[in-house]
Amino acid sequence: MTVPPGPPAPVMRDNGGGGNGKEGHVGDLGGALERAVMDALWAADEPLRVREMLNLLNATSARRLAYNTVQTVAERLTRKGLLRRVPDGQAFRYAPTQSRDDFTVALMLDALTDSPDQGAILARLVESVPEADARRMLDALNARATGPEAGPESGSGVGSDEARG
Amino acid sequence: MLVLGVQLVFLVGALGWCAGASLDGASFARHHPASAVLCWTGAVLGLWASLFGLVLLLLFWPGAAGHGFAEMLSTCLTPHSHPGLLWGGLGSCAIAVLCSVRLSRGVPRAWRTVRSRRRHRSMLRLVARADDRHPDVLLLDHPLPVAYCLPAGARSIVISSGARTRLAPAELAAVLAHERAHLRQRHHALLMLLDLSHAALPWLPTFRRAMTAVPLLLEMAADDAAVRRHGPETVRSALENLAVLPGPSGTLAAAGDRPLTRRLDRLDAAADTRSITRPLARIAAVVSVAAPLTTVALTIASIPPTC
Repeated sequence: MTVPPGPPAPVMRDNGGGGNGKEGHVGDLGGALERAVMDALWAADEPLRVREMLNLLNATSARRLAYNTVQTVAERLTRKGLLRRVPDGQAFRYAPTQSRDDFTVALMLDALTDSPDQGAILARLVESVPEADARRMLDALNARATGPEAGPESGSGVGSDEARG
Repeated sequence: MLVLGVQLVFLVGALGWCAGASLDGASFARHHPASAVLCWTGAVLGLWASLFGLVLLLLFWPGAAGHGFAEMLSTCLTPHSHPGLLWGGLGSCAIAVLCSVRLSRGVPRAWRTVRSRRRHRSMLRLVARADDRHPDVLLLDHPLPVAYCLPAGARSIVISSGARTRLAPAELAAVLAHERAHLRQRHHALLMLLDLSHAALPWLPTFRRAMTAVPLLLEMAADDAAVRRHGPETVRSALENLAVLPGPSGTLAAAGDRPLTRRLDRLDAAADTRSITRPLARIAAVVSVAAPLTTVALTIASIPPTC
């Protein structure tokens, strides 16, 4: 519940059971697999090969996955910008582009982009958390401001992303 | 038809200029945000209906700017030409092009909103867990105290584990009631309508004012829904302990400092029990939609059957 890098297997089952039947079968399955791969990589200390991911996933999952399935999912996540590939001999190793916490912060910031007074909300958020978290949030904001999206930072109101008015 | 035209111009003026100005400064909005939202919705929908009627009239009314659009359609098959028809046709085409250009500004906006919601949800799927206590809640493991809602999908409310540990059970229930009120009252849809209206016709005062006034009113209306179930003190302490974020792109806005202060002040103030406001607001909303619709219906009925 409070352990940030949750073990892959229970989380995956959790998703399969919780969101099932509402999101559509195939979509949910894809989501669960992507999630399991991300969890495995977030829990690992180093970039992993597909074979290693497969072993990790199959060690905990009831259903046996094929090599190709895991590779496809890893490629899809790479295209989405969530994983990066590290060349390793003939093959690739995969590593997350962001830590799990950074990803979560980015997600919450995404929910904030549209606010007319996001600066004020950010200030409240920063006040409400321990310093380390606040610092991490500022880093995420910096990355956002200099990143490809060039999202507006605090104070700029609605900003370029919205171009309202 | 002249009467109808005058009526439509009057309605556009009343709803597009006066309605926004009077609703924006209205003092009852503070005590009855839901009624105020109803009035705004009525004004916006009625304004669209009257604009639609006006364009229809211009296109089909002989003698107006779009003179002879119907005639041009019916005669362009026959080898028969007349300089008046040509000018009329050009005028109609100009109006049609102008309308579609204005309206098409909204389409990419709507599409972007939908896409960013979908992207957000797919990202959410990677880290969020289903909350086993509430069937409509997703949990994010993070100490930041955060709650927001995301329309569509099975679990539309997102709260962080930080919010869950920081809030007392009653406060958490109040936050959930707030978010559920947003979802139940379709606030996202209303905001999207406002956003599209403003994108299409940014110079109409009612649309412009609605963009700034309504988000806060929606938050207040959701606060009221939570207060009815959990009492003002609980809602107040919950708001103070939590950052209720707007949803991603094009969804619920307004939390933050100044609006939040206004929301908190409102909760402190004694509830206004004048019950006359709500029926009055309903009547105003119904009238502001019904009047343009009737006029538009009459306009359509009076279009000559030749077309």
